Amino acid sequence: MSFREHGVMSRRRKIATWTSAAVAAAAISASLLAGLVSPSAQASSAIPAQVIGRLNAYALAFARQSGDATPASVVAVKTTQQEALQAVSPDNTVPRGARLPVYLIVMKGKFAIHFPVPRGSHEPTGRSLSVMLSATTFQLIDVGLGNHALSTSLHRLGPVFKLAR
Amino acid sequence: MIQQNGNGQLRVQAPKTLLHAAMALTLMLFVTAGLTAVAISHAPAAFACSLTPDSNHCHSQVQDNTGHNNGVAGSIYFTCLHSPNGSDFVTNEFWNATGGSGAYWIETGVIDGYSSKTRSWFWADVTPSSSFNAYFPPGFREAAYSTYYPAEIQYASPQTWLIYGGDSDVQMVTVHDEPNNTIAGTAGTEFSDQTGMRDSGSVSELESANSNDVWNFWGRYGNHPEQDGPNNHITPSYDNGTSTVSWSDC
Repeated sequence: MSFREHGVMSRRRKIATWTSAAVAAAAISASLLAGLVSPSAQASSAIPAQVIGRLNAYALAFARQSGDATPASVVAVKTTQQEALQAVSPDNTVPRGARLPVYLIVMKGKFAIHFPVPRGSHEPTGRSLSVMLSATTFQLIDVGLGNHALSTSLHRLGPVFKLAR
Repeated sequence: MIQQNGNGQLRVQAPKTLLHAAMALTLMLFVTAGLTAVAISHAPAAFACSLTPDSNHCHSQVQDNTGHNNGVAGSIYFTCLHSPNGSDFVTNEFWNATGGSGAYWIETGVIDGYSSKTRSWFWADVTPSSSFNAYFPPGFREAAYSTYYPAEIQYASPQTWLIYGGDSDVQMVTVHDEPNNTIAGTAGTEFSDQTGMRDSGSVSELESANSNDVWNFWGRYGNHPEQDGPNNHITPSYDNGTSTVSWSDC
């Protein structure tokens, strides 16, 4: 049984993707011109007090699992997935869940991610570790690691909470 | 102790208690050495797949040896996929090395374990500018057993790649700033533990896109199956006719 329309599906996908991208770009441009897009206004809200402790525990456990049990700094902000990805991973665009509320945790330290990598490649290392959790389910959505500064100030996304270390 | 015998000669005689102590010490040394040898031979941490160092990750895979590609695709399938704890992991996936002699790459598939994921879809990449990113798309159902899931990593335009997959074969991401100096696509399973892990599955209908975006099955270009990592017990097999790599350890 064939599960793939050999040689055709990919071309169809490419056309569909470019069409979608063009439509999306046009829509965004129009919105910007109309002054309708205010990402930070949509995204920002305070992190509920009862969540702070849970976020802190998660962050420290993740830091420990990533090779640095005492990160130099740990901060968190509540925002949307789209805004969070724009800040920590601007090279990647995901088409689903743009408005999903998330908690974005950013830590400074000396980290190594123990994650699947291609045979012969080394596990990623870096000084800036970001972890994105669903604000509704607390499920891990995204992990980013590098040595670069964030492309967007976290304060632009909403009230930034300094978590305990 | 120094004693004089009947001939007036002096000789050194070890006290009996000292002799007994020396014998006991020698016996203890032999026993300790034996126990140590037994312990080492049964120590899984030193001789099994593990999270760290990364060279101890185990891979059971097959590689496409046609060289440069504009994409890799296949159907992910498993009858079991389970990592017994939340930090170790086991995957069913494929990889595409995009350049930098392995420094940059893209991968996608299903993972169990890492941060307590349960048969979760994921993709990850390393790019020259933003380093490492791993993403677990929200909204997908847990990947089901005995189900074929098409997935694809496709070159779209300079520095831009698309990744498809998930529970309904949809686009999961557009990756920017990823080069296209591809070396080879690979497919199979990667895991960091063997104790209690269950991992049987396949990646079938493996294809690569050439520089003209024409997709071809790996066929006989699927290189011989490889397994690496300390005491990796999962032996993959590859079928030229269906371009399928499979493995079994339920």
